[in-house]
Amino acid sequence: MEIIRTLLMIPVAFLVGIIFLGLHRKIIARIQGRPGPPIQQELYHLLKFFVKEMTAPETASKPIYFGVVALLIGAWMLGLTVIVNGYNFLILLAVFTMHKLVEHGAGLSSGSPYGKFGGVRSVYSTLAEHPLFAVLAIVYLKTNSLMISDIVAYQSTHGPLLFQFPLCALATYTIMLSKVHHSPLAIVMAKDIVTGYKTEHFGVLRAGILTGESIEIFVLMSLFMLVYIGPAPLWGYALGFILLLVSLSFISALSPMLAPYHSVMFEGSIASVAVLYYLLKGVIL
Amino acid sequence: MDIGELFQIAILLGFASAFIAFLGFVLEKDDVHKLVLTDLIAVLTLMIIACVGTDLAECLILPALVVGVAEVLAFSELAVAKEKTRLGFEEKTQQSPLNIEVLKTSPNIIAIILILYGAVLTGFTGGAVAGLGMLYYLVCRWEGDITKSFWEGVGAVSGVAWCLWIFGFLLFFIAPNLWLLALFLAGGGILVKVASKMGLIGIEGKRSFRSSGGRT
Amino acid sequence: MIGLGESLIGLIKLGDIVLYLTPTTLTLFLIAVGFTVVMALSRPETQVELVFGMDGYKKSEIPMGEIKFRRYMAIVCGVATAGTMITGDIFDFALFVTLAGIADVGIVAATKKPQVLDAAYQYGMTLMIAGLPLFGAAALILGTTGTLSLHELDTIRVSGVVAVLFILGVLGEIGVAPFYAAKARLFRALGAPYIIMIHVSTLLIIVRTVEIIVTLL
Repeated sequence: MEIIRTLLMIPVAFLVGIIFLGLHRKIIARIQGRPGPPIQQELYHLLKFFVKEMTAPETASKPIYFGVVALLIGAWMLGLTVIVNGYNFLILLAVFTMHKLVEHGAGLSSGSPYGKFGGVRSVYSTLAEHPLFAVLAIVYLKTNSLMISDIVAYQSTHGPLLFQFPLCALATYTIMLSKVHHSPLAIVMAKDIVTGYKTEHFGVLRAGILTGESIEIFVLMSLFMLVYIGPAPLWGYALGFILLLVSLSFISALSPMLAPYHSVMFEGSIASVAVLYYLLKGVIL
Repeated sequence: MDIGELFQIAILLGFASAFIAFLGFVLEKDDVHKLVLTDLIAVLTLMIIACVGTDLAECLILPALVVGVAEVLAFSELAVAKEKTRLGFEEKTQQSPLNIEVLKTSPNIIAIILILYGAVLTGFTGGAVAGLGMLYYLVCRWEGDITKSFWEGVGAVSGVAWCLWIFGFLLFFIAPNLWLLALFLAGGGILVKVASKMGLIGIEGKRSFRSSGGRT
Repeated sequence: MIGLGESLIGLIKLGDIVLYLTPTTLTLFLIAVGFTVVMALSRPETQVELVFGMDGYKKSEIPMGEIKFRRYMAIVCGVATAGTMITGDIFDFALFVTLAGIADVGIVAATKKPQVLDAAYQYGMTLMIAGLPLFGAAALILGTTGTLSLHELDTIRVSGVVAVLFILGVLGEIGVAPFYAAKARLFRALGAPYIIMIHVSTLLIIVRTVEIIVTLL
């Protein structure tokens, strides 16, 4: 039953994710006074890439170069399984870890200097992003379980965790912000290093990466909704998703790109403020 | 004094010493001196584990010690490689690194003490201690030469001693009332076996340590 | 019940050391093993570098001897990481973490560049002094609760100071990926498969540490 439910959710997550990627571009374009591409543009990109040939640069380390794409899709499908069935949050942390490894591996395996810079930036942004993601574990203090199903059940009786742990919610929101395109924190795929770790992945491989990213954005948004808002009807989730995306797009459109170190420091400060706040609160109260 | 209180004081002392070691580490600038100070910190780690004071803690000290020793070895090798790379130094010397004066002028009494203490201890530990004494003497001070028969003779003694050890163990099961004899057979046998084997290692080691061509 | 409300897949009792499997630890273990296999099988990439002042480029490759050493170290690192994921004993965890840390330094230290070796040495110093909080925390846990098994520690609450010490120790031992990534070209050096192993070990151990910390508190 769990398998069937997950399999049914994969196309939904993929379509919602890829439409959201297009919507993100559209909103940014409208804020900047451009007409922007149609919302389904990313889907067109993906279909186009899928019929291209699959090759690798001569200098690449082949197993990693091809492996990372499969890994990215596999990782976020595992993440979707966790979200759909309400498994342990820590598995999701492992999925996020695999995403960072993909960024690193894709960047380093090709031998291109642009990819290498993307990969290196990915490694040191880990310094802030892993704590940011792990901050979510603080909700264990209230829920006594890190199973996502248990967290949702807790909120149905005690109200949303968004108001009980606002700083944790801010941390998870920052993670989402660092993963969308054109955002001030997206240093691994910044314009100054072409497209970062994805520079050397083209054709079918790029289509694979795009698939993984669409599922990723769905999983991250679902995680935020499930852990901080709790049980809601379907239209509530849809509304929440769109509100989240619009806010992310507004931040991406209106703020400048941060330098790599500043970005890491910014994320790191949010994580440490959250940890210290709840640590002190736990000690004093 | 209450044992819990004792534990707390010991732990606090351990961390206080660690703090002093850290201070030294911060003030020290030389890389090799830093390595020595990190070894001091590793020893303090052992002390903190030892504070627990149960038999389980005893089991934990050994792996922690091994880890500490392995780290010191690894990083001293790394330090050597680093300095060699930095200076552009190439390995031209033929000198064995252990062909040093201190070994040749060391006192014999250390070997005698180790062998005597090993004989008193008996068993595997005693064999190791006595063997260490023999190894020490043979590597550092012994000037003689060995013949084939001597080498084989020592090997035979070692083999016979090993048989005694096994026989001693069998005796425990066959005739438990002779336990004292069995104990001495086993303890003495393993003592002679381990010590003679380490002696042979010492004879071999003498050749390579003192020769001028340790490595080519 | 163990491990943050998860159901237990299996329990292997080996005397004092009680190994246990939950979906989380099993997933982490499989990820570590899978990565190790892929990295051991792949050849390093050829790095293309532009030449200053002219319209040209040069390729740099790693010599075979260095590849062998680094591959060996990467496999050791992978095995240590897999052990860290599956162990049910704080002290074993500390030992595996230390082993992974040493292997990390070994992967980096095979390069023959002075600045890389220097950074690796400095990192090695950090690794050694981080042994004190790590093993100290394990000893304190044993001293105050009387057990090292995570299976039993799930029901016992440990003081926050010990948890902080533990985190400090783990970060010092395996912090090479986040803390040293920006330093001294460690990660810009050649050999993607081996350098990724450092990253794999670091990140997976951080995930497992989060689990252990939540179990302890």
